[in-house]
Amino acid sequence: MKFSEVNKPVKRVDAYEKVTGKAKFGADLFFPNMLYGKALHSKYPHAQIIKINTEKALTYPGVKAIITAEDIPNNKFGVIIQNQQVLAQEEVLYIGDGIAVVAAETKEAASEAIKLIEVEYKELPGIFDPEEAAKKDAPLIHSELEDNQVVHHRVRKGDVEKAFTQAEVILEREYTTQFVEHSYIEPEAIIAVPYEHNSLVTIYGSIQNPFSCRNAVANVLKVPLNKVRIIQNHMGGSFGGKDEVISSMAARAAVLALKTNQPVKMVNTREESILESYKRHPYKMKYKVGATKEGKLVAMEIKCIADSGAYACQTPFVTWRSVVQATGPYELPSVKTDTYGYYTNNIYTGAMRGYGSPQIVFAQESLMDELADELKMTPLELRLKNIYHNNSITASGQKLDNHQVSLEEVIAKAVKASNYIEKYIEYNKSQLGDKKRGIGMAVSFRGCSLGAEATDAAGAIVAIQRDGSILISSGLAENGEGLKTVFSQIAAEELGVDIKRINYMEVDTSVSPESGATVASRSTLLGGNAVKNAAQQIKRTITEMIADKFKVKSGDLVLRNENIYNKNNNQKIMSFDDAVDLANKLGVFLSAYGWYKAPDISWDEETGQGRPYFTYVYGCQIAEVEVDTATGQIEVLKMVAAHDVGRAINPVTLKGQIYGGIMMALGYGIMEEVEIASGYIKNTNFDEYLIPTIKDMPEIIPIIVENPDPHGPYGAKSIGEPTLELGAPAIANAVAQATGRRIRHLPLNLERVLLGHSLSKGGTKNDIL
Amino acid sequence: MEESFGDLKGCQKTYQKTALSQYFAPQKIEEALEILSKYGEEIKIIAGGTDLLVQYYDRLYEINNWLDLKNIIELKKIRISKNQMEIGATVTHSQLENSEDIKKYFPILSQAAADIGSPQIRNRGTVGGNIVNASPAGDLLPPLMAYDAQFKLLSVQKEELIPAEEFFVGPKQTIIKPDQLLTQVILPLPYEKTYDSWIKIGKRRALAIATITLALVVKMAEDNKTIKEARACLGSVAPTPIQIKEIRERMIGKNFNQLDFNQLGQMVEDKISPIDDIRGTREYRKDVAKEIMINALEEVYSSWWRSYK
Repeated sequence: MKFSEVNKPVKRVDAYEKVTGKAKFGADLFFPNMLYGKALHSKYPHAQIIKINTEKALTYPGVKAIITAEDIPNNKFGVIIQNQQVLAQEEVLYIGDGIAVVAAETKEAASEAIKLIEVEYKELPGIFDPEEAAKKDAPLIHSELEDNQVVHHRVRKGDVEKAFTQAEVILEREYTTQFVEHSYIEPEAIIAVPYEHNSLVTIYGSIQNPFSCRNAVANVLKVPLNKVRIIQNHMGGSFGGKDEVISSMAARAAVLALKTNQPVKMVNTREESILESYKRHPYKMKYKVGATKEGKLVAMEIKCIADSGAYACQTPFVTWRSVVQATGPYELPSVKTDTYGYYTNNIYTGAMRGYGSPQIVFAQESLMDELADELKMTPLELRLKNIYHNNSITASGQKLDNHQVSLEEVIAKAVKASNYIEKYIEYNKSQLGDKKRGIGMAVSFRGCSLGAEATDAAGAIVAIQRDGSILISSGLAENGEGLKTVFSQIAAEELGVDIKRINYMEVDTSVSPESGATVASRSTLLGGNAVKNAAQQIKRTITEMIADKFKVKSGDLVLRNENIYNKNNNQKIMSFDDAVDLANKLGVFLSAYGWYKAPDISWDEETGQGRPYFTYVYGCQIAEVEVDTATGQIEVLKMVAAHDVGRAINPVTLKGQIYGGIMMALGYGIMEEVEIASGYIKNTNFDEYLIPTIKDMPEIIPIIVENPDPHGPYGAKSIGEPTLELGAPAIANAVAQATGRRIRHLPLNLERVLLGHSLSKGGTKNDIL
Repeated sequence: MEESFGDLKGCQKTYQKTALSQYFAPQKIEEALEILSKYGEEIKIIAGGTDLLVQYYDRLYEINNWLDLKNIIELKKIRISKNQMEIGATVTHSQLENSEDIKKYFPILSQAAADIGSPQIRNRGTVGGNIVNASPAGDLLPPLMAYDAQFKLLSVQKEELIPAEEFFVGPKQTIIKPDQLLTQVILPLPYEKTYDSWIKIGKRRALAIATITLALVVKMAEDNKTIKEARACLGSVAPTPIQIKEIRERMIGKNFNQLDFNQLGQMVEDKISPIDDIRGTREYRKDVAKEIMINALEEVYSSWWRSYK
């Protein structure tokens, strides 16, 4: 298939404004008479609020208003379960819970007034371990509930007990992962403007999911959706992180804006951001696997416990993706998987790039290496004996028969590019000196888009203007990944025009069609199809108009290179501009709403059987490391990443996703951890919460594999999240080869590598800086 | 941090600005000293600002008076005078990293400077700031101590020369008085036969506050066989950067082949008493202190061996 705009490394459509600093981010916006909002956060992870006295704070010069839970029309919100407090009502449930918000004429006044708010607490014992929360007699985090369980998902396939009796080798292992911060470069920012352009309130800011934000704000204010308008600004990163925390901030700012009748701006400091915003779920995972001596897997039993923190947030769906993918891409006749989420008084956990997969992929891919070791087999050999192929049946009973199952292909390509086999043999020999090398691999399958989580559809508007220039508006939102560019490429491809004609609009919820959230690596697939659908409608309108006038068959007309041709004789009939002129004269409407609804899926909550996702992507990453056994320092030397994406709409932005995913995976694997002690967060800025710098980055070899999917636009599927879920286990497997010691807990920090365990740490930054 | 979170850590302090801010940027050291003698504790000295601006992030309005050293050219110089090197207090880390003289005479000071923060921080941060900030993790401090640095402190009344080891008294605490200005770091030029090693362990390869650091400087006698002086100084293992004096006693007068590196490493491990903090645990630091001491000795030994051959 030959393309003119897609499948090409087109320059980002928003590159110029970003590199020249012209792009406006939330914190860059100013409005006349704007006030600054600042929240007072809890002093304890769990406490009863006896009394809040704002009198003194209200008298501070410049203070215009202070709100507490009593001022919020509807204080509970949430995408899945509505139990997150906008401001703490009777109890604070985690250390980042808000208690009051001040609006003042200056930032300084807001900061000073916060200190004058007097809160009387009764400190309550907290639960900080989900296994404690699971106990029958555990105190309730949410008193209106019967227990602390957020959710329980199951997969039941075959007879696991019987299958284990037939296994010749059985391995049982436990793995754990940590709380992780999204570390977007731009902390949360929101401006609420009252009574602007016929809306009750307009919200600007760093908003990952404008429609989720609108739902939350309208719900909290108890007003219809059409009274609340959300306009997204450029995003300084999100990675799943600017959803509920932004909705909460937007709701607070909206209440203050309506109370004062002035715009209210709130911008978090980094400390506030880390203290308040949800994290990636820590998991405790128990895996039991049975295999024959020849290395054929016969059964797997899995139990995963996720710490949901104070609120449900995205836990029900995060743990659902885990339950579907927990076995990894391996054929297994018998599977029993349970995933649970429990409330605790830790910081709440939610969506973060990967969404329930980085945890289980770390466990299952570590387990495969451990099993290979047990069977005296290479990790590669064991995987090749068990991976999915076309027509394999998954743990959920889904037959993989509607797309190319390309695991073997991605593995082969990654193995070749990394010299895996030669290096594996070399590093298995004894190595002299403190520095030891190792090489490790990880593979995965990943369901594209939302799956059985929710209705899965997206829309877009493509509108040709009088002069032939084009506006696109979609309900899915640019998060920095290059969505605007990819959607513009697709529209330009369909209409046969230069991408320069297109201006891509920011999401405005009062204009753009609601498309669900920009999550689950679904935008190119879902939104791309919606844009394509809109452009095709316009194309049909144009060709029918011309066919009518020139007495040709509309089916013979093609739009290409800014012109319309008769494909039978390759003769140009008219230019695109002339066609637009003609439409203007004839009164033909050249705009369209495009819509795409994902194919049907199914899920049985009791058995975990069905078709949880309509298609999957496959990936393999291989890490080569050098470990200093004297200090525990790990240097990741090289990462090879082979991903089947169906079709690369833009190979350059796609590689950007691979590089970024590997960077985040490296942080997840060897350094990042939000350290929480009894609910208190210890590292609240980037001097202590360390993410990789450019100096920590290895050589990265991205390999794009293209097996077009029947459902994707031009065959395109997903890339954002698959890039992140493989790095940590690949590195862990490489470290295990280098050191001869298996680490089953993330991150593989200096101490775990050197001492084999991480110790509880004390002190704060003020002790040492 | 407490202030920015108000109630969070029980901080009820509120700030009321009382007077207009004053900002001084004199060109001469004498003027700076006059200003210091007048304002004392009521003024903040700013050099590169890489510590101060972070400490006061979002509440800079709390600082009433500023003394900015940026216009004092005298403080920006690195020069050799007789048998010593004089480094001005506002010499930046980048200058230390790139100075040919520093690289020649004090190589591990240059290496330590190169390990600080990021290029942006190294371009602004100064040697004087690193010293008076007195972080136990200050990267330049162990090499300065190992090279036997002295700090020149000036006030309107007097001039004092204080050895590095006497300057630091605790985390962020030094003996400098409010009316004193650190103007110079003075290092005795080393003999030719000096061998040294710098090791920094952090949780990542850049922009990491040290988990542990070690500067080892060994000077040989004229015969290039007998150890004449040996100083092993560590950072992030105590409230201040420290020298392990026992190492010096054990090494002086010996030949390399009379030394048991493992034993010397053990000695370092035994003599330090680090704490658990967010950058590392006591157990890790003790374990690694031994390993890096052995590595440093091996490095010093092999560069000596190359010159000896």
